[in-house]
Amino acid sequence: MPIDHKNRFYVEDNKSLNRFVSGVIKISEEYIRFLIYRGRISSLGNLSPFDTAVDLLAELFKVENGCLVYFKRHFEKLDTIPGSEEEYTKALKQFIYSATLNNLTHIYKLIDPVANKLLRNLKAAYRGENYLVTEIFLNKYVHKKDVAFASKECIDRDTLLNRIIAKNWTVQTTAKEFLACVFDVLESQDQYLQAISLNDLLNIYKELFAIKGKTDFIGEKVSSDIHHKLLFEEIRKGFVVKLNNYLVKKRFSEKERNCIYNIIDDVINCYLNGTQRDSVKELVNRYYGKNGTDSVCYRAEYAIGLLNSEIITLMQKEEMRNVERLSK
Amino acid sequence: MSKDYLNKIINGKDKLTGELGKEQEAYREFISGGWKNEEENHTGKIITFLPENFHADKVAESGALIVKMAADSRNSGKYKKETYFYVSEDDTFALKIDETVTAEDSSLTAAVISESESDLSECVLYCPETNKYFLRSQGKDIILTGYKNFDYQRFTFKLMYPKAKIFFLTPKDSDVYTLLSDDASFAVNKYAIEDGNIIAELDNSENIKVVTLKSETCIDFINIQNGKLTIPLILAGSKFELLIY
Repeated sequence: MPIDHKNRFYVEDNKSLNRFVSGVIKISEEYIRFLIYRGRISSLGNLSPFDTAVDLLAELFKVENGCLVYFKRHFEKLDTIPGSEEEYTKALKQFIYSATLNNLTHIYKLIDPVANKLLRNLKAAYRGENYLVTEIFLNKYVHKKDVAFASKECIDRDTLLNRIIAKNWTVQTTAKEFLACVFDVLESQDQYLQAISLNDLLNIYKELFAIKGKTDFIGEKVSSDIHHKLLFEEIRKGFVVKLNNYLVKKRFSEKERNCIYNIIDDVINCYLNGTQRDSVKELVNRYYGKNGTDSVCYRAEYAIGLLNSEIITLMQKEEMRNVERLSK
Repeated sequence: MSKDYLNKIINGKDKLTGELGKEQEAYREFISGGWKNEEENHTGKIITFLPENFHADKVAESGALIVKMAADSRNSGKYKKETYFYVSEDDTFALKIDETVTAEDSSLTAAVISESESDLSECVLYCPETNKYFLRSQGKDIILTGYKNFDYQRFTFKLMYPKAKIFFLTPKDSDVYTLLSDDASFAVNKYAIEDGNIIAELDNSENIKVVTLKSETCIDFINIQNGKLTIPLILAGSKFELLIY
């Protein structure tokens, strides 16, 4: 007997449970692959999409009184009971995408500890301020009040980043202040939706932290500038090795690889010189050519995200060393 | 996930607008499958390493050539270190074996080198001549034991990727394992806890060479006999996986 909503997710034996769990994991694995392709999460480390799906959904497979209790509860709450097999499959997929997206942040601890900390602060800030969160398919959105998602599109990440920088961003020291600044920008215009995807929020916050390191760096100006330059050279060398591993592993073409290396070099130079980097689209057009596809942009965005995590990690280490030196 | 929005995206036929339209486009791209690219699949793959000068060495056996395989050697009275290289048939992987000899002891350490940055963390190394399997330690090296009296430089080694994985998961507030196999032909039929061990019965144990357990804290070999796996509970924990080779 198959495990499904018709038999209230009753588990007859291990074999049928194994078959059901495998099917669920397969759906989640495919969704995770797509999120990786879209640059929503990284595929760092040795965690394959399959292993990630297992990690994220393990909790769902709790058997109570012979039934998969979470699946049973979910389907009991549905307004419309799926009639056909096709409807059931769609409802099941919807539940699995939702559960995967909801648990996604759990793996940040493993794949990007910097993002994990920043995300934790952002979550505490928007929960504390009673912001609303809406999940759709690819993204979770944070907004202050109800918005009509069909009315407008969200502002793109680079435009928002530049507007925040133009708004004297250096004063943004806490996640709460950063959020306030983001929504000041969003509310001061009516071309775009007054909502932001959690992914964009995190990446902008991360990039500001990476840039912020330059201005807030410890020490007097001259020595700080030299020190900072040396630090960025260290980052440039170390990061290229890491990036190379990623690019080889993901089997990027030579043209894509060269494009990403050039973009990273460009971004590091901008950070060093205190100038604003160009948008990802402009960078891809410059280094890949006008025929740069969306997938190249996703990969470039992802590589910049990796670079920012690397910078923040090294800055934090450097700050710790300075604190230790000063306390001696 | 907002049911209305996702319902509209999954079940609706009309083209949506605004941010919802972008999400709908993403969903349509997702189900089209056009974004997928072929990822290298290593499941069950076996890479055979031969001594670097294997072919020349065969000639040497017939008396025509003498090939010195040591790539690096340093001699001192108490300490000697030699390095031997083995390469895969397609030349994409290399195995480097360091032999360290001191007055008291000798040890062999192997490391796999790959240009493709393949994930080798789940591989085991097998030596057919001695029928021995070796696990990678926490780092990247593999400690080879039992070679003191052998002319191992002439041996072959095989790097084996798992052909299946079986996950044992315990959902929160549950003390029952949920089992999941990534290959239905190696599913666990039933399991029981006996004398401090999990005894798991496989549906099919044909062609299984060796099984390892991997958890957050350890990686070790697991005993298999007549399709029954004996997994010490102390190694298991609430979540672990069995790798089948």
